[in-house]
Amino acid sequence: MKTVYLQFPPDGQIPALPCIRKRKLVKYYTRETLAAVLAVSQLLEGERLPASTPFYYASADCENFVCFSEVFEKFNENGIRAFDAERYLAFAPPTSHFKSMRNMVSCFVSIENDLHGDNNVIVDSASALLYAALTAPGEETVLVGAGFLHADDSVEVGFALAEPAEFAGHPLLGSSRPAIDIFKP
Amino acid sequence: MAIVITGIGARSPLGCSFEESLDTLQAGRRCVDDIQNLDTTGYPITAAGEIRHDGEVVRTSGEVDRKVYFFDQALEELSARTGFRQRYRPEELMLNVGGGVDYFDIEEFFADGKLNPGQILTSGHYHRMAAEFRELAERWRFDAGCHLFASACTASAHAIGLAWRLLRRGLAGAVVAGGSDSMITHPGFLGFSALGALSTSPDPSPRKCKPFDKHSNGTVLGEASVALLLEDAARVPAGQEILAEIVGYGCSMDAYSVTDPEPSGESAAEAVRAALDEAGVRPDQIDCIHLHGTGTVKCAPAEYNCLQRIFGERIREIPVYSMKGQVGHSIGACTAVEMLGVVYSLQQQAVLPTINFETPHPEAPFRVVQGAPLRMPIHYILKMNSAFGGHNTALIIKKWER
Repeated sequence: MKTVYLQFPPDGQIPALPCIRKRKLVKYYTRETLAAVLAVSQLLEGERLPASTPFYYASADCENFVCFSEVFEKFNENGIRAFDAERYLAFAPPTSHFKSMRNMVSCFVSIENDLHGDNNVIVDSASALLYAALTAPGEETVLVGAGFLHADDSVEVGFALAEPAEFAGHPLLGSSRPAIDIFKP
Repeated sequence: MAIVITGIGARSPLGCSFEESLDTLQAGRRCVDDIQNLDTTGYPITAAGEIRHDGEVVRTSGEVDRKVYFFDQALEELSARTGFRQRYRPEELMLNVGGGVDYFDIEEFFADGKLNPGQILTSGHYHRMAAEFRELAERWRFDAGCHLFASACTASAHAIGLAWRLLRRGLAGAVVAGGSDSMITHPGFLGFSALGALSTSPDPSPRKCKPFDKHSNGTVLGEASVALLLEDAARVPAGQEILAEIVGYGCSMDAYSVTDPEPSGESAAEAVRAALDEAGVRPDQIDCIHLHGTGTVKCAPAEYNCLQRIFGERIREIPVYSMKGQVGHSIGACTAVEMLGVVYSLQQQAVLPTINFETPHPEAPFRVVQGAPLRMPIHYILKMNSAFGGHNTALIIKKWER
């Protein structure tokens, strides 16, 4: 199993831009997406995966509220202390909702790498990610990944290319451990 | 090995039990209306399908995460119907649930005067979906694993599809699979209002969502908690009702846009082909299609283009159905709640009318049932869903025959 695991500190630059083909989408990226796209690029080392490659991704429990930051800043600036939906919608940047949806990392990695195959998006669970990969249709190599965007803006991601059968008997099957643990060295 | 659905526990706009849900479907009662359980002051759109019992909205306080609250109740119903806790050891039982975004009581968070995103988690008003479902799974003794899925509108299809694959491989004894999501919360409603995906139709709330209709211009949101018991037919005791057999599952990814479906439908068609291949079923054996049918502008043409690739010109003859005009779009739970429509079709041998459909869409000239249910022999149903972000899923469901 070929694996890449990356970790970036809270203020750490994520040098993903040179490996991104569809740069107009970067405005929708979170730090987790940037790190994921970079990790996949490193994993593939310039090779392209067949479009039918199955891809399964797990995002960690939410700790980071990118989608609320800019809105709350404007509420604070304007001295607003009670929830107001109308003002919230006026203040919310159009891209904010994309940053709160857990399937977005998976979608952007798929768009970037032109992946159209079997897929799933998992919350947190190593077990679910392993089962998804283990039961992938066919014998094709699968791409699996997990990410964790922490409250302090630090981020870790892990990706692997493997045959589905390689996940049989994995010690985290059935466990309640987070998916990122699969990739930690 | 035949993987079958032996029970459903349901909380949705259709009602608070399996029977009530089927009765509401049969009656064709509209379940979308102006929102009652959320203060919608300041929102441009106020229509949604809230969970109802005997036609009345079930209210909860802002402290309650409705996803977990109602799923627990759905499990109670499922347990009573199927006795799964008596029939399977805890280490054989797995829970697969499609969900949505975490819930937090934003009004109370504001009231505490802590407008710092970093303090949301410690505010006491935050509900972690994964942690709360893990706690629920421990309490219910799903010791083989608790798995949550978050592919937006296909999350519960992914939950059900993976359950089917696991059971076929003998990796679980039984799986309770389904979905639980409520978009009728400030975090959910704010997001979708900002995206501009909601119907701005001037029609009254119950008529705003018009799947497949020429005049559709957006969806309405909903909520549902639906749990299905999936198991190997060989382990189903005599006397236990079998509602349906799942015979195929496939999924694909558009990798095209995060907001719009891939317009040619080719990627979604790949999901259907995969499901048909798994099932060993030819397209001409499919009797009716239960579609995603959100009522958004681009949904119906993309679905039509997809299905034309599979069925050719026959797609104009196959009856299609969408539940969303009746109940709204429950996002992470939509496939699970729409399985009630699938079971209705198999039990009653009828395709339900699509509520609020009136005028055929020139770019999606489907055969949409109107008025009363269309009686016809139904052996195989294709159930499709698609998600914001580009995920597509297809399930092939068969009338159970011993």
